[in-house]
Amino acid sequence: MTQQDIFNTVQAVVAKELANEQQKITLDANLIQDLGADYLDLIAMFQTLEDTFNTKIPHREAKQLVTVQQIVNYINQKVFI
Amino acid sequence: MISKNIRRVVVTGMGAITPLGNTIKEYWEGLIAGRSGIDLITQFDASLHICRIAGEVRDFNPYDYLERKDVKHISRFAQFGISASLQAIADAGFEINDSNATQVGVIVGNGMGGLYTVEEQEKVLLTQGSKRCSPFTVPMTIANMAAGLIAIYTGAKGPNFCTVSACAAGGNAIGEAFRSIQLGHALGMICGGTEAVITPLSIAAFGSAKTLSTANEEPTRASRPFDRDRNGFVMGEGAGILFLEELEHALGRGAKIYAEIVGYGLTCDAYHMTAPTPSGEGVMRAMELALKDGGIFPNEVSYINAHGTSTLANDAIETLAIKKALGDRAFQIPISSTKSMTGHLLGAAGGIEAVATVKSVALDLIPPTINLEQPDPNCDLDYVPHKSRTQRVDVALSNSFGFGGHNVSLAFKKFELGVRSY
Repeated sequence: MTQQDIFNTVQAVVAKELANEQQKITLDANLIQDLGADYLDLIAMFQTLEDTFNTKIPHREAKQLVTVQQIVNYINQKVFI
Repeated sequence: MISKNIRRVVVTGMGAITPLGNTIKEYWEGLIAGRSGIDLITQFDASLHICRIAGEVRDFNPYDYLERKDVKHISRFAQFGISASLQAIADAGFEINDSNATQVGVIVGNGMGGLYTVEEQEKVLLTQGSKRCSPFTVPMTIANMAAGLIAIYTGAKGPNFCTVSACAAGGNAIGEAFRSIQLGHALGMICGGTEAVITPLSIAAFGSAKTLSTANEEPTRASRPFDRDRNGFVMGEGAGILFLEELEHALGRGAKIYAEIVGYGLTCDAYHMTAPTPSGEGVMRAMELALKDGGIFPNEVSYINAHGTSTLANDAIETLAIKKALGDRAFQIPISSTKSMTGHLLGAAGGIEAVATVKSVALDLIPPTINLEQPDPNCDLDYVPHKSRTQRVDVALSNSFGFGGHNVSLAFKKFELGVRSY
C-alpha cells in the first residue's frame, strides 16, 4: 500500500467518523482544531482505523496523533514497513 | 399543597414530532381530521413479532435541527426532543441569551432512553468483543441525555432534569417545570417528553407482557380506546414539548399565550408493577389533586385528554376514576384519547397530549377518539367518537399513567388577564 493509498483510506475513515467533508481532510489538518473532533470522536475514529488496517493503536500512542499526516505516518510505519 | 403566594405560569410555545407529522401544525391537523398515524413497522423486520404495527415518525430529517457532526452520535429519542424543543422556543419567539440563560431550564422525560443503542451495542459486545463497543454508548443510552442535549442546543442553563416514570414521564416533566416557575426557580422552562423505542427488544418485551395490540391486518383500526374490541396499545414514537413561562415575563415581552397551566396532581397506586388499581383510586386522586391545585370545581372542567391506552384494564379503570373524581359532571365532559391516532408514545405521551390539550383550550376544538365503534359497557362516557367537536374549552385535564403505578394529571385553563381566581 502506498503512502497515497493509506492517506485515501484514512481520509475516508476520518471523514465518516468526524462527519466532515472529505476534501477538508488534508494531510496538515488538525483533528481537534480543524476538524472539530472531541474526545469521544477520537476514540471512535481510532477504533475504526484499527479495524480498517487490522492493527492495534494503543491509547497512549493514539493521543500523540493529532494531525492526519501523523496518522498516515503511524499507519505506514506500523503496518506497511 | 404548596402556598398560593406563587407565580402564574402560561404556555407560550409548543413543538412536536409525531406519527401524524413533524410540526405542531401537521400534528394538530392530523388529530382534528381523525387521521391514524399507525402503520406496519418499517424500522426493523418485525415479521416474526406478534405485534407488527406502530406509530412511527416519518420523514424526519435530523439535519434540519442538529449539527451534522452530532446526528450520528445522538440517539433518536434525543434527536426528537431537541427538534421539538427548538420548535417550541421558536414558536414562543423567545431568545435564550447571556442575560437570561440561567433563568431558563429544561425538564424533559422519557421511559426507556436509548434502548436502540443498548440493543446494537450488545450485539457488538457479543460478536466483536468489549473493545469494540462505541464510546458513545453511554451518552446515547442514558435517559437524561435528551434534557442535557436540549440545554446544549438552546443554551438553557437553569434547572435541568429528566423525569423517568414510564408513560407518566412527559406529564411529570411538565408538572415539575410548572412548579419550578411557580416557585421562582426559573422564568421559562422547556418541558415535555420524548421517546423512540420502536425496537425489536421493546416490541418483543411489551408483546410478551400481552400489552400490545396484535391487530396487524388493520393498522389504522388497531388503537381503539374505550371500544369493546380493543386488545392492547399500539406503540408510537416522537416528542411533545411545551415552553412554559412566568406570566409577568410573558406579558412583559408581549408573548402570545395559548393557555395557563394551573394544576398538577401526582400520585402512586402502590399496587402492582403494571396493572392499575382496580378501584381507580390512584388515578382519581391525581385528577382531584390537579383540580384542587388549580382551584377548579368539577363543573368547570370542559375537556379531558385521557390516557386512554386502548388496553382492557386502563380504559375501564380510567373511566371509573373520572366518574369518582368528577361525579355526575363526568357524563357531561367530552373526553378523548388521541392515542387512537398517534399510538402510545410511552414517556412522550404526556408531552404530545399536553400539546393537544393546550390547543383545545386555545381553539375551543376537541380532537376525537377514532375507532370507537362499539363502546365497552364499562366505558360509558362521552369520548367524542370519530369526529372532532367545536365546543368551548375553559378548563381541560391531561392524564398520564405509567407502569409502576405513577399517575399524573395536568390542568390547563383558558388564559384571562387579571387576578388569579384560584
